Amino acid sequence: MALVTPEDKLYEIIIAEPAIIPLVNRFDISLGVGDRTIAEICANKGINIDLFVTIVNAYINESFSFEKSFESFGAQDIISYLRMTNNAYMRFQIPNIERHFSALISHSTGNNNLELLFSLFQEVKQEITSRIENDEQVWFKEILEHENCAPVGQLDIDVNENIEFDTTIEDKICDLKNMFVIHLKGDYDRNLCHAVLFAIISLEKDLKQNDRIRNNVLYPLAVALKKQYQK
Amino acid sequence: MSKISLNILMKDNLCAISLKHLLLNLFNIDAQILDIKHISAMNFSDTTDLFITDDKVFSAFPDFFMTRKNRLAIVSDFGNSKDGSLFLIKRHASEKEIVSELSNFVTHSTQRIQTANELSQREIEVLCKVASGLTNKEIAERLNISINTVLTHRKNITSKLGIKSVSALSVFAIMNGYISPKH
Repeated sequence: MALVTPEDKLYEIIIAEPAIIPLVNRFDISLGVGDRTIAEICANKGINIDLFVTIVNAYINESFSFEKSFESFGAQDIISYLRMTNNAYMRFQIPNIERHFSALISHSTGNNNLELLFSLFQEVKQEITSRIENDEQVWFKEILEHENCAPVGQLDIDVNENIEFDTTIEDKICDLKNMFVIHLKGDYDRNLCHAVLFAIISLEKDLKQNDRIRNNVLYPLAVALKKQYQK
Repeated sequence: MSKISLNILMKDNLCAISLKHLLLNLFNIDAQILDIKHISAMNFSDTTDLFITDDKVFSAFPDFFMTRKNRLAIVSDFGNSKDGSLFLIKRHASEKEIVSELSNFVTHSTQRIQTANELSQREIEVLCKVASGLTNKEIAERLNISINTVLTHRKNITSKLGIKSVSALSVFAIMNGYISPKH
């Protein structure tokens, strides 16, 4: 998909890429967006336009990388968005999967394979929880401390730093999806099973898309802030 | 279904004959009724896919059946337990329930056999070691193979099963009876 610009109509972006609906909601934009442009909606809601467009582009374009210096928004803004994302995982998406999974197990008597898959999901949940705790107690905290000492507009940001990110959570949730699709056995309630699987796929996609924001937007900014801080 | 080999080992011949005909009529499986007197002397090859026995014969030959528990159904006074460690068919259940349980046994076993056929014996051994939490180095030492060979097996397992994390491989190994849930 072509890069989104402030002049694009938001409804056209949502129809072309419905996966951004949770992202849009996190900015407190409800559906029923009319035919207004992104710039108009952001101005009306008091949202930083550059931040919104950057996050939407990182969300929907796999190859997106940030190529200009941060001038109109900083780490604080990106962290605020990621906090809203983390909050959505813990308050809505994970409890939603747990609720449907528990119903699936209770409506599929005699199928202990589902309980094994549920234990795998619990591991995914634990790792997401640990990552969020690390965000709050270590990563975000350090970045914000550095940002207070280094103005973002003067940073030398290298977006091409060769880094490898931990993909344990993404691997496990992909495995969980594949266990359902390829290896599920026994009798089960199909409707509930579909609900669980769709919720898992939705969470997997959201995690991957937000990884791009973490890795391609916040990480280079964090590195630049750290270098500036150490000077 | 017709290619599945199934042996019935029971004391009660009438029950064995009934099962043989049910399996033939419902699933097109031509089961063989074997004499339990010679069970300890029997040398079943790995080409025997499934076994059905009863609780008395199972108790008399635990070593023989426990090594084949993943392809075994036992006719007993009880139904299947939640942990699913052994597949039980309740002898006093209704006709509908017995047919349903037989269908479950045949369907699940067929799926397992198909999956097992996808993995080589060596890959299954590596899978069990991975699922038990051993490192590549430890697996290489236990199986007396190089670490590169272990890595090749792991790559093939992931490619065939579509899963790569140790947690998911452990769940798969338990689901298919390669390791026990307590591992």
